[in-house]
Amino acid sequence: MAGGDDQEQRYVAVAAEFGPAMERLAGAYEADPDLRCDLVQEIHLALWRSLDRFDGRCSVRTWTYRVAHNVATSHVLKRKRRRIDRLASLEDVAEAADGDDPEATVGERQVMERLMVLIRALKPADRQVMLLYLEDLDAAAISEVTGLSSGAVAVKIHRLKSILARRFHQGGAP
Amino acid sequence: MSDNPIPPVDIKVMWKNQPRAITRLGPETVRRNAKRLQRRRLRVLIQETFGALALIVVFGLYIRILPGPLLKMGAGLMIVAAVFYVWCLFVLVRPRRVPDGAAACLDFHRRELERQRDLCRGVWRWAILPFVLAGTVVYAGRWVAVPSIGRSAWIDHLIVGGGAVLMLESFVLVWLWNLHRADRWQDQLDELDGLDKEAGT
Amino acid sequence: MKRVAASLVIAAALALPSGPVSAADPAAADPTGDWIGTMHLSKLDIFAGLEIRRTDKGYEGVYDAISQGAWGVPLTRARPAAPLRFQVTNLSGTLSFTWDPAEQRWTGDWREKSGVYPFSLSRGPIPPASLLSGRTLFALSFIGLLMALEAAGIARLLYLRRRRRTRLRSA
Repeated sequence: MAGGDDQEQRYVAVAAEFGPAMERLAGAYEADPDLRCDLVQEIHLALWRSLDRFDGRCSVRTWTYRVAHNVATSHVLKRKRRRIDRLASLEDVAEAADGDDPEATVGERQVMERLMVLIRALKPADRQVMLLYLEDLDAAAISEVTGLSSGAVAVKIHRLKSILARRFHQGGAP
Repeated sequence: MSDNPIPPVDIKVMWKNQPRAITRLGPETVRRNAKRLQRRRLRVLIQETFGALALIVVFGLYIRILPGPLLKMGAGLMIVAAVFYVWCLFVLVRPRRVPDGAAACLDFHRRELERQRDLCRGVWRWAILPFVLAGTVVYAGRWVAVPSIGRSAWIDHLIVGGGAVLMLESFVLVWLWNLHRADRWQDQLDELDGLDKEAGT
Repeated sequence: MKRVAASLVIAAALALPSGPVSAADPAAADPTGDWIGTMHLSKLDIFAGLEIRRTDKGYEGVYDAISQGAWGVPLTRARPAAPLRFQVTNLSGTLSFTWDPAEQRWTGDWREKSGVYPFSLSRGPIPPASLLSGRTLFALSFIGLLMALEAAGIARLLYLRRRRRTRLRSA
């Protein structure tokens, strides 16, 4: 089963390199800890099976993030079908007033919680861009993974930087 | 504005430094689920066998003490139904060894999920129908027997009829419950198959 | 004259009834009607009744175990057919009733492993059947409750199946 060994080796390498990122991504899509665990397992299983068909036309990183995002989006859609129209785009979030008490922004844990709330409120496409940005992918890589044009990606990155700056009181140029 | 502005890069650092949960890798999950299914099969096999043996003992006694040929025949049929049930359990529900190798394990688990689903769907044939037939004879025998102490004949018939309806209702419930379980197994199969589709590859 | 007087005295004496009037009572010669009595068995006494009627097919009847609350247990004709005999079947022993034309009453016996228990019945009214005893009420309530619970379970399972089908159709 040479094919099976190749697939196994590729998977082990991908899991070692991108495992933590998959968990962070799952955490951003699913708030419930038990369901998050299920989602992580689904992503790993989908990755393992999909690597059998990986033909090298894109980078392993792009392939991995695409698979993970697709599985996570399906997971969310299955469980929150009725709430899809309550998700917001980056534009909506950028225009909306904060409504949060600035004095409550204290501590790393609270920051992460507020960030997660913000991410989970985004529509799938914008959520994907946000997560890839937080994983420190550049605009070109984000464009490759999402399939959006580089111009569209640049606009979205600009918006999300301003949101992060305003919501989390960041200084410095966007 | 806060007195402690957070530089942009720190958000990314904070994001990447999130604590990791314990993660089970995908293929290992399949192996674990496959083993769990086989263990569950073994547990069901043992429980149901003991239940059937108890039934055989009870109705064996009933054959001796129940009055009337119809009641005795019904008790005998119950024993036959219980023996048939145990035989079907050993043939159909017997647990199997989980193979090594991730791909073989996945195929095995998939086939076992299908087998479990089909068992639940077909439960009326091998688990319910024999007992319904035997139970009908028992209740017919009870219907023609002398009324119980404290009842006139028609009240006795009302209670026996109610008992027969209750028996049929119980079997309908068991059948529907197994169909529900079959749907859950099918959902697991769909999830397993759907992961390829969801992966978008 | 003395012989005539003695004959008249003897004839008058012969004309006097010698015992109970039963032979002259037409009802007493008839095995039909309601008959009651007590069976003294090894561990308990059963106050029982017998209802016999005559139809086109002959004599028919039912047995009432009054103190046990069981009325209307069917009787089957036993063999030989004469004298008039009935039996109750489907019991743990044998219960038989025989019409005794000499005594003008029904006699019977209960035969079981521990022995034979004879008894006799005399004509008398049979009390009406009681509709519901405590045990019967409990049995009916228990059955009713279980049926309701199971019906709820069936309804729930049917609802879940329907919901799943709707979900799959819309997916």
